[in-house]
Amino acid sequence: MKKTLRGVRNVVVSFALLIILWQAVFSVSHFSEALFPSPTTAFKALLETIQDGTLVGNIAASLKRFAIGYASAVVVAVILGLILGVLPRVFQFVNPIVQLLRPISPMAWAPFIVLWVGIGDAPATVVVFIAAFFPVLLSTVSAVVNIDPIYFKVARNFGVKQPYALWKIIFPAAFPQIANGIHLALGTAWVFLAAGEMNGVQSGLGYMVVDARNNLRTDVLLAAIITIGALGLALDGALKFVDKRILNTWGGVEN
Amino acid sequence: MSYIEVERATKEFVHDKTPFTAFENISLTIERGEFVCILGASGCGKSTLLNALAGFSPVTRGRVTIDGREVVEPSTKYVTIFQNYGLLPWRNVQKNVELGLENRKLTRDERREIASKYIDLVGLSAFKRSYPRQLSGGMQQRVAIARALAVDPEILFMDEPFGALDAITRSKLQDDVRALSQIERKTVVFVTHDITEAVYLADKIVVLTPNPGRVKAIVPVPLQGPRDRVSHEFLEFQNRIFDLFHRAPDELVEYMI
Ligand SMILES: Nc1ncnc2c1ncn2[C@@H]1O[C@H](COP(=O)(O)OP(=O)(O)OP(=O)(O)O)[C@@H](O)[C@H]1O
Ligand SMILES: [Mg+2]
Repeated sequence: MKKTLRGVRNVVVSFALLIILWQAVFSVSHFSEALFPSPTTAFKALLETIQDGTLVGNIAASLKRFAIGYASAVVVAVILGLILGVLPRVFQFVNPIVQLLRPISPMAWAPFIVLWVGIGDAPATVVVFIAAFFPVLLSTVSAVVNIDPIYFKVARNFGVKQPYALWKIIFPAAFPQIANGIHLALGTAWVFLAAGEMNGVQSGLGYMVVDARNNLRTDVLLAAIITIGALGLALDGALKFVDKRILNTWGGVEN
Repeated sequence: MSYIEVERATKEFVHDKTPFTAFENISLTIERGEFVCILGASGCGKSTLLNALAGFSPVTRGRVTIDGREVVEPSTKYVTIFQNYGLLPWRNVQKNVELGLENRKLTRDERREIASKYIDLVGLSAFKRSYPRQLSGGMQQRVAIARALAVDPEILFMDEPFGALDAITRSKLQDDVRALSQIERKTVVFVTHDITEAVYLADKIVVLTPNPGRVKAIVPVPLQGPRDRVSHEFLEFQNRIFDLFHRAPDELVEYMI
């Protein structure tokens, strides 16, 4: 409890510092309010978008796409990663393909994605999926490969056969490292969500950024940017909490 | 014909294309119900031999048979207990002990009951809901023993199971294992590099020498009844085993005189 309080205090202090710094830079800079909004203007814009309901609508749209894209990527990548992890001979051949696809920004696929899945929620969801998929897949495979061999010995000795071993032994043994990958992928996927919403949709935080730019509303633009950051931070915190709960119930780590 | 037979068994590993012999030409027999200790210095192939007996990694030459059948893979008929326990940290004590029962045709209650019986037997009734990390090393090893006994194996293979424990806990567990093996009528093959431990536990000691691992001697332990680690007979016999390694410890010579 003390620890969380201290954590909250640190966050408050650090954000206060950021706002003070922002205000200071604004005061000494020669930019007009339209080019570089002050904290007050940005805050007013934030209030305005909250009051007219656009912010909540955009957040809801973004979160929905993110949840679907990210969750499905995690599920598919973990299952595939577990299978590839126990079949190193197959992974040998899959790995080069993964290594080829992985460095391609999900955004590079955007034109094709729009052609294939159309417009609306789908493109941004697919971009999030791609962004989350590879880090989770690779961390799952390496987690399985690095499982302490004693767990496999125990499984063989006590007659735990496939496919049961996959979820009785392999998944939980690999879980701490998989959770790491899932966690890292959250940040990456969130970054690409906003990017993915800049084409082919009329809602979401990414759209809000583009729309504000088109209307020359830099204050709203900044409000959207702040929201993206804050939500990313909140999601990260939420996932950390869930991770810890799972690891605790599984007895994996000490506090 | 003996229960476990090892005939001119050799295990070779190939490392960077150079073959390495872990042990060579080992022959020994173990009878049903016997408590056999495999004794030898570090690196003489004890674990490798045990892994071959337990079917984890079969021999490259020679034969290992249990009950007349060649050992090619592990089975719940012979369970191995490892030095680092091999408990599943994501399962509590109860669930760890149930592991080997889960592929049997048992109801949940039957499974629970069998597991509970063995947890009680190793004296951990109060810790059924605890996770391995919450237990001491000695308690964790008890869980591993309960888990092994729960599948009612014919043989227990133990690989330096008490190596990581303090002397007091170790001697308590030695007593327990010896008692349990008699109550439950198990054949036990117990690997150790501790001569006292071997003399205290074994009906028969297989002494290995290194580079590559070979059988130096197979010595039946002549001590009758409950053993006393400081009795004259015990120390005398222990010294004989020491002599086999060509190093009689000075401190024991005093007792002998
Ligand atoms: N999988 C393996 N591949 C290659 N060499 C191995 C393998 N397993 C064991 N060895 C080698 O075989 C030899 C015997 O190892 P082993 O673990 O059986 O010894 P040990 O008697 O159990 O030693 P300790 O008392 O230290 O446990 C060692 O030199 C080891 O390096
Ligand atoms: Mg060993």
